[in-house]
Amino acid sequence: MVKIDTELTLFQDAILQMSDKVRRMYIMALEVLESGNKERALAIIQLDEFVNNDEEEINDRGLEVLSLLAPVASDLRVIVAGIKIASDLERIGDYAKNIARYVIKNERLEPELMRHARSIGDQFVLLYDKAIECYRTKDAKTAIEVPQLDDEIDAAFTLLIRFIEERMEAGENIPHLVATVGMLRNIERAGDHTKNVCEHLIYQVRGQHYDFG
Amino acid sequence: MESVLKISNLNLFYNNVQALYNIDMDIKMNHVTAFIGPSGCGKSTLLRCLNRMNDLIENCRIEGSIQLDGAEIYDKNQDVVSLRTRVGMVFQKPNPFPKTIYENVAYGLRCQGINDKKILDEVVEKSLRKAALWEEVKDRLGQNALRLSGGQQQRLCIARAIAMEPEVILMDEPTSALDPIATAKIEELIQDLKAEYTIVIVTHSMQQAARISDETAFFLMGELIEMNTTKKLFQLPNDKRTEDYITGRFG
Repeated sequence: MVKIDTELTLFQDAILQMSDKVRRMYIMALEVLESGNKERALAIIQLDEFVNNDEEEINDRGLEVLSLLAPVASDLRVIVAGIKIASDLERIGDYAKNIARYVIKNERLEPELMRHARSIGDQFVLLYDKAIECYRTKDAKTAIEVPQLDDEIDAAFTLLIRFIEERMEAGENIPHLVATVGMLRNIERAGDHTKNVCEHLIYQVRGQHYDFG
Repeated sequence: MESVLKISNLNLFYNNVQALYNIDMDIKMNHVTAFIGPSGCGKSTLLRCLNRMNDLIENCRIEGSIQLDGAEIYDKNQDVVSLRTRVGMVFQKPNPFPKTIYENVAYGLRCQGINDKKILDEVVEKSLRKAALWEEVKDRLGQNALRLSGGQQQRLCIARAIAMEPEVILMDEPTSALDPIATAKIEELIQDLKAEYTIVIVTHSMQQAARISDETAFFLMGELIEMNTTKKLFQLPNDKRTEDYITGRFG
């Protein structure tokens, strides 16, 4: 095996391991939203430290390959795309951390709001899993279609806004509802960064730039 | 972009062994074109076709066409000496003549019967300046060229080629015998020279091809596999064999 093959495999494995941690943060975030378990929410914040550290290690490893092995063509794109993907994953992790912070500071969500949160969260995990699977299998063709799933997150989010507007019109406590929307906005933003992962993967495989907005 | 050299359907044989297969290629004016590929792929052989250096090899047979500014260089009426003044060459190992620095550069002109000191002085200075060597040797032009360092000798060989005012300069691995500093100087020089000359360079260093050339041609077993802008060839090559070679997965 050529040395650069080994290095690129290690580099991509590191990204996949980072993506596993980020996924776990979301699964836990959705759990603690439901349970209100503040200790478990704290564990998400701690996990984010590991994710941040992963990004730095991926950057270092990428720079090492660039400086020592001078990759070109597809090898070079693996590194450039990988560094960008790690940066998006780090941001996606930050959004999960924001949800954990919300849980620590606030009371549990009422059942109806939780149903909306669950719907948005489940749609996100579906999008995220497909995007990471595309990365794992270098499947640029599917990666072009996967970002459409983000529309489902946006639709679920719109339903939540409508629900809250109705409640506000009925004269309910506004600050509490606004905070909930702000918290769930994190998942919507995470969806956008997941679309970026698809863009970077397509660039890695085909050398073409896509913009899914 | 205008091409200086147009190679069409070129086949080359050493005895009965075919070394080049159906090469079609345009070399663009004021561009640096790099030939890359593994040893024995035919890149130096093709380079040597461009000023008929292969004429010196017995049993070397060439079919097809190479045109310089539209005129066939393998035409039987083509004067090979005048062709080589228009298409100069710099070799892998610096090969100055065992003469003074001055006489090395003036050599070609003297061969043409030009002995007017004023003209020779002018050409020697201009050529050495263009080869970025003047400042280093202007006070010792009478010194034997063999006492120069390897990098200086190579720049002297470039000056010797430039003195003939060629259109094209062929370089066959011009820096492979040089240290990184001397290599950097030659590479910088190549960048300067392309404003006035068309340069074709054979190199084993892909990094060098990437750094200095505008176009790159990749050869494999006597075939031209892919020719493209250097940017394209090193970022998104069309052919899997090119990708394998430039990423070091060949063999």
